[in-house]
Amino acid sequence: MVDFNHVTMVYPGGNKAIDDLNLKINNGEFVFVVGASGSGKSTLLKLILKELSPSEGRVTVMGNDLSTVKSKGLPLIRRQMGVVFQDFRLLKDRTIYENVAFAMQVVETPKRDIKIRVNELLSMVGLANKEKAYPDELSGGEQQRVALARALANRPKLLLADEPTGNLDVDNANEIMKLLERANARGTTVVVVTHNMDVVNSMRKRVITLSHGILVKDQPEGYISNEF
Amino acid sequence: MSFKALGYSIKQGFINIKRNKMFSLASVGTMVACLFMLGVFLGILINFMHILKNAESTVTISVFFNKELTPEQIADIGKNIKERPEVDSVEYRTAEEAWKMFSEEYYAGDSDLLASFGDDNPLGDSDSYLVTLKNMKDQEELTKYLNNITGVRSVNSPQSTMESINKLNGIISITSIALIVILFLVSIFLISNTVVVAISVRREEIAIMRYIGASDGFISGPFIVEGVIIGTIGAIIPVGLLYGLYFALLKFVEEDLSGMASWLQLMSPNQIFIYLAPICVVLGIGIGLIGSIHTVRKHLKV
Repeated sequence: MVDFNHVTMVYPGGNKAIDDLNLKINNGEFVFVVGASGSGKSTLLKLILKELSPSEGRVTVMGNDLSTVKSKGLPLIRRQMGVVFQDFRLLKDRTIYENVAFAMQVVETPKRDIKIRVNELLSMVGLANKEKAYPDELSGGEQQRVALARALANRPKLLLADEPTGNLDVDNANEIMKLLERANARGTTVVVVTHNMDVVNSMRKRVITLSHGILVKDQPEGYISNEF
Repeated sequence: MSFKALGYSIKQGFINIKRNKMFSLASVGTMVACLFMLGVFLGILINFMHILKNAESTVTISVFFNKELTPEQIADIGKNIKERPEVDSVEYRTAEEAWKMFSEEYYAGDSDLLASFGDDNPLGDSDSYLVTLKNMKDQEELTKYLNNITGVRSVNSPQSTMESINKLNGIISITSIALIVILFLVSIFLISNTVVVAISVRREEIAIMRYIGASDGFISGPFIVEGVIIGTIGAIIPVGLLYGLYFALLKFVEEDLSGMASWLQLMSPNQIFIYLAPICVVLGIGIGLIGSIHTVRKHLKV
């Protein structure tokens, strides 16, 4: 699903965020990427999204060598991915329904199909009764669930989550992780960047630890004991 | 782009305008001002060209012959002149006709003086051809040609009138091109500014669209539609205003400047707006399109 082959990423100014990284994430895996601030976790996600291009090495996503993907082909790859952010990134002037539907509108899904799918997703994340509400009327946990519903709208093969529980209390964080696990159980590969020890340790999934851009640990059923 | 995406772009384009109400209004306002000025200038230009064309058609070159030429030889000369590509028309004028016209023009109010000539024709033996040119620029060359024809006694060409008209034509053409370019650039700049604001307002939405996998066309479509809408509205308003004003001007010329009516022959609204309206609308839409595409490409890196 994702393959980093001797990838190095140096930002303009000389900061080396990823240093000769070799990493393989297989289809259907659930992977945590952990590490302290500045360890290269978010850069890793940006490389998968081709928001950044590596200074050296090759990133392959869903069989596509991203260095050969032209800007016209990039949307087609991204349509097979879902992304969730720490700050939710919902459109504040649109209702919950419209926010989720938006992801499907962008890929030109027929209106009828959008309606069926959005209702299904909102039920799945427990917000069926709030489809007409606006993001500001929801709690943080609810907003993140909307963001997750949006990320899953186009049935992505790969779901990337950047600190999805960073702004949530324990209960809401657990709720989000359950939803991610459910998506994973349905076949979606999930990559979660986090430094929330409790979340990682409660899941017993593969854990990749980065430090200063270097892969320092790759545990199949990881458990982390130190605070980042 | 599919119909669905086009529908989305049009809807979002209108929403963009509504969201950036003040900037959109400012852009439309400035477009109206620019295209109005352009329209006024084009209106003057088209009418001026019309008046010049009329003036040109009244300016003729007179060709006089040697006395001993036979009517056949004169007819041959006329035929040769007519075959020249720069010649629009050739008219034969007898000495009697010439004297009649001259006397009517100069002695119309003085019948006593005219009567003193009796049956004499002071312009006797001055049968001539009156040659009208297609383009006055060719006047010098044609005069040279006419002077070299065997049997031609003299050629009268109103050199100074023609030179003035030519000079005026040149000045007006250059000024009009310069003004059109300036107004065009100003309008593009303004549309660009509006689209930049629209893009910055929707930066987050654009970022989300990118993550979701929206195509470049889907992202940039609404901004281009916005530019085109502003351009179209900015063109229709000045055309309407100009149409009304032109009617008022025609009425004013007809009623209050009737003394000048002989040479101030303005074109009818239909004659002029058949050019002016499409020019303004095409310019408006073009400015909207170019301004927005340029800005979208620059700021969205599409």
